[in-house]
Amino acid sequence: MMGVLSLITFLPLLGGILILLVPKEKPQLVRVVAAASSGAAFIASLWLWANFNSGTSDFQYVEKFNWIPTFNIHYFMGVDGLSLMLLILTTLLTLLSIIMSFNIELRIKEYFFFFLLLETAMLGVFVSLDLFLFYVFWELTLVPMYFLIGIWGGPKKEYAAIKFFLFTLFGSVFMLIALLALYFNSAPHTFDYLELLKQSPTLAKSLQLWIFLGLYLGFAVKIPAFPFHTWLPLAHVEAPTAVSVILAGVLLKMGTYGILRFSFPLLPLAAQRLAYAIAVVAAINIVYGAFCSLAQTDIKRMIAYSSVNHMGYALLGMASLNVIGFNGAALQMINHGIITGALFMLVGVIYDRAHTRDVNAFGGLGTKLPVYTGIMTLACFASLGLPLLSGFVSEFLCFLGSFQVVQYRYLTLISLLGILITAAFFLIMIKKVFLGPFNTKWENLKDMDARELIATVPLCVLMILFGILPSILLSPMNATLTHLVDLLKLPQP
Amino acid sequence: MSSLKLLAPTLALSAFAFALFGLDTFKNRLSASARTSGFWVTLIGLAVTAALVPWAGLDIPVSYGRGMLIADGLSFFLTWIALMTTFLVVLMSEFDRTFEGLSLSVYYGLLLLAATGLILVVSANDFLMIFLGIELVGVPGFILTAYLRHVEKSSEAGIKFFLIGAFSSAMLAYGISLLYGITGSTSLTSLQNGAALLQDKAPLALVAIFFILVSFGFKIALVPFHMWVPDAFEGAPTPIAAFLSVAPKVAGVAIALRVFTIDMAGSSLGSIHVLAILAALTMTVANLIGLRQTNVVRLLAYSSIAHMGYLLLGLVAGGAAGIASVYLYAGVYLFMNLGAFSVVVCLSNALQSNDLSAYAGLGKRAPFLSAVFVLFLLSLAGLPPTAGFIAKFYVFTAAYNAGWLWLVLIATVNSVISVGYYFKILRAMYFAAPVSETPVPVNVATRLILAGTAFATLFLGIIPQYGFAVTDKLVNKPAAVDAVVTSSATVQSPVVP
Repeated sequence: MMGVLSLITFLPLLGGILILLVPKEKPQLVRVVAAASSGAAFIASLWLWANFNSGTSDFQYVEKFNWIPTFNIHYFMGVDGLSLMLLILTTLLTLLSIIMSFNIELRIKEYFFFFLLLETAMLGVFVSLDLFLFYVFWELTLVPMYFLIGIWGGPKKEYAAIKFFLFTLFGSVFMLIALLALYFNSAPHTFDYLELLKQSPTLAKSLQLWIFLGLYLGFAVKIPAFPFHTWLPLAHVEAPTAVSVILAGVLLKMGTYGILRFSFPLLPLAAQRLAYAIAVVAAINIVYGAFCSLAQTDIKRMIAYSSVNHMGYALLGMASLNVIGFNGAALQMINHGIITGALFMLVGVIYDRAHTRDVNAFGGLGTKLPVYTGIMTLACFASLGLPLLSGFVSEFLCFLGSFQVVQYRYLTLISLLGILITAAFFLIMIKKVFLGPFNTKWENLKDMDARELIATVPLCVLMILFGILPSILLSPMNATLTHLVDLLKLPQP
Repeated sequence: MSSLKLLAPTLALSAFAFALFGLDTFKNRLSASARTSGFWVTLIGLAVTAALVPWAGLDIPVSYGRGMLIADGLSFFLTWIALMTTFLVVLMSEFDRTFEGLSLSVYYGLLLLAATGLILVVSANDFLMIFLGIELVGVPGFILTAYLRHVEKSSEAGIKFFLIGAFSSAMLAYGISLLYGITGSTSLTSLQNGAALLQDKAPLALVAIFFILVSFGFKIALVPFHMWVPDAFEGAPTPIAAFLSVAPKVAGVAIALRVFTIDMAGSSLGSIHVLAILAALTMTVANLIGLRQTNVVRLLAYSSIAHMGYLLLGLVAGGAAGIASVYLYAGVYLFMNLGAFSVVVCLSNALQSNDLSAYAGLGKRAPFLSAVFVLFLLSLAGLPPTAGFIAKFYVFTAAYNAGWLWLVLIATVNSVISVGYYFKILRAMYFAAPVSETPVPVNVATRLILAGTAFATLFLGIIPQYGFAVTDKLVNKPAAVDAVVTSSATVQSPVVP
């Protein structure tokens, strides 16, 4: 008997297989099937939320079957507050990205097939509670992403695709070894998350440190944490618009999710020992990412580097190992997905029209494209953390969490610098593109059409909504995050 | 069970082989009907043999043929691998257009003879039988490699393969003779019992094991004994390259499993460590050279070398899990590798080239072929959800659990490197613009092979429990191996000092 989580996870794949059966001459039908299957997954995930019990940190909608008895591996799925929110983020962003991709004309069947396969893999990552299953889904995200960047990407797409692939694979094989270490040091041997959680206090500290480092390599590449971030600007810039949205909106979250879900609770001693190092990495991500953004003239590259900076906030919140920090980190993951997703879509909008993303090529677009300017400015403000927009709340919570840790005071202060620089580069970009004298070269530029509005407006609404009422997101996650912090406290002598 | 019954598959295979040799004398050898009748006789021969494979020795090994041969899980599993490989290669060959105008009856006969040799090697319980079996695989192999007489490269490959083969067989014979000098017997069972004797005569035993290791290294093409592989693969008819990518390796793996992992488990004299180093060297060197290849067959040649490195992890790990993981790896390797080769055979017929540049844009010209090729390449690279991942996972866990962490680390890094060249093919097929628009025809036999191998590759990747269950069941318990020692005492034993 398939449960609702399996249904949500495999609905997109089903749609993808259907698409392969649709004749090539009917591109419209391909688009409809793609939107319908990802839409169905989105509605099902909302249903999940509606029937979700926020009061408990236990896993809900659990499905558990024997899969590979020889290795005591189970097909084990379930969601708690954290994974539920990321699940919904994934289904929402995929649906909107698919709508955004309706203008794709090249090899359209393959495109939507890979897109839906990617969605299945991402959803699987967030709902798996057996580490083997998790790893399978984790690796499964690579291949569709490779094709999506490599076929539909920009001028340097092939290099970007293979670099993305090799970087992530390199990280994840170390993760695999760390998982094997976890497996063989449990009794009876298991990949079951809940079982491992029970046994985590008995793991020797030195072993925990090694396993933590192995897992961290896998996760850090995905986040991407300095110094493993070099694949990101390239992949983002070369990827087609909708793929950048997914890359920034969901794939990066897999890294932070992995640390929050697996590394910290399963290896509490190592987490406490290495938290400071992670905070340092976070501070570097924040400041270095911001400076890199400041130096860019390509808008897409700028936003790509701003992801390095924003994921730094989430990492800093996580490294503080307290409830406020965790809340901030989890919220930042969702908000960054929404905001940066919108920003990449908006960059795509202007690139489709002008075929350039150079900030200096534009000027005075504000009067010519009022709707576009309004939405873009809103998204930029949300991203730079203007109060009453969603980015502010999560960044604030991350800093509040890390400021509570005495050792992090200076790191937090340095990181605050990142906020300033972020504001600077976004404002400079707005000034150059939308204000000033109108560049007559863009006389014939059209404002956003219906497809683009349908894809971006919901995200803008959410930015405002979650800026005013962050509790919508925080309340389902709170019990889970409190529990995760408690797990870290347990083994202290 | 009588020896005759246990020998039935080898007898049947060789009978059909000689029947095939004779077939051409009755018919006009180049006529179409001669070709088809040869093909069908071969298929019938394989079917008869498969029906005759004894399901014996799966619980307790049975030794037969005066203690020269043994029927156990290892021989059973690898016999099936040998038969399946031969079957797939026969299918591939029949529709390969490079053989147009050549009589294939002799070719099929030689293939069956090589399969006979393989079955003898995997069932051998005596060094003499191993030697005999290896020669029986080798000699038809040399001829088959050089089968395209009019093609210079084919003859060159045959000569190279022949020289290397003869050289390594001589090494093997020398190693065997030294072991005989120490233990006074060529039986593997006495090797097992003579652990103390081997330790006692350490320097001489080391030399003997060194020679055996080296010849084994040549057979399964471990670095630094791998030079012959890319040339032989490139020159040989592509179906024969496919055969060579599996058959001699199966033979080598069988020998290594029997000699080093099972019979010398207690007295390896450091040979396991040597194997571990060879494994690391093989993977790393093959993968690094693989990165530079532009000919798909050569690329797959280096890939097959690297895969033997991964497989050795299970061998080095030893124990029940290690042996089972080698079985699984061998089985999975058969499917994914022969699948990949049959795509290459089909493509080289249509494109008249094995060069990567000819593969440009095939995703459009041959969507089915390209899609299954992607599956095989992902599997060869060891990515989930394919069987290749499961097989790698199994050997890695076995090696990790046996304490070979450094080897597992090298192997995992290697599987990342290997992606670099497997994906070169993906890139050519899907990212590059097609050189022409004509679709590539795929014949029925190729479709059948591809459907079968692709299904196995995906099925064992998603529901691997079947694979694990079969291979675990086929590993004979160490206690059972002891049982055969006592039971084989009743069989007339070879010279005992």
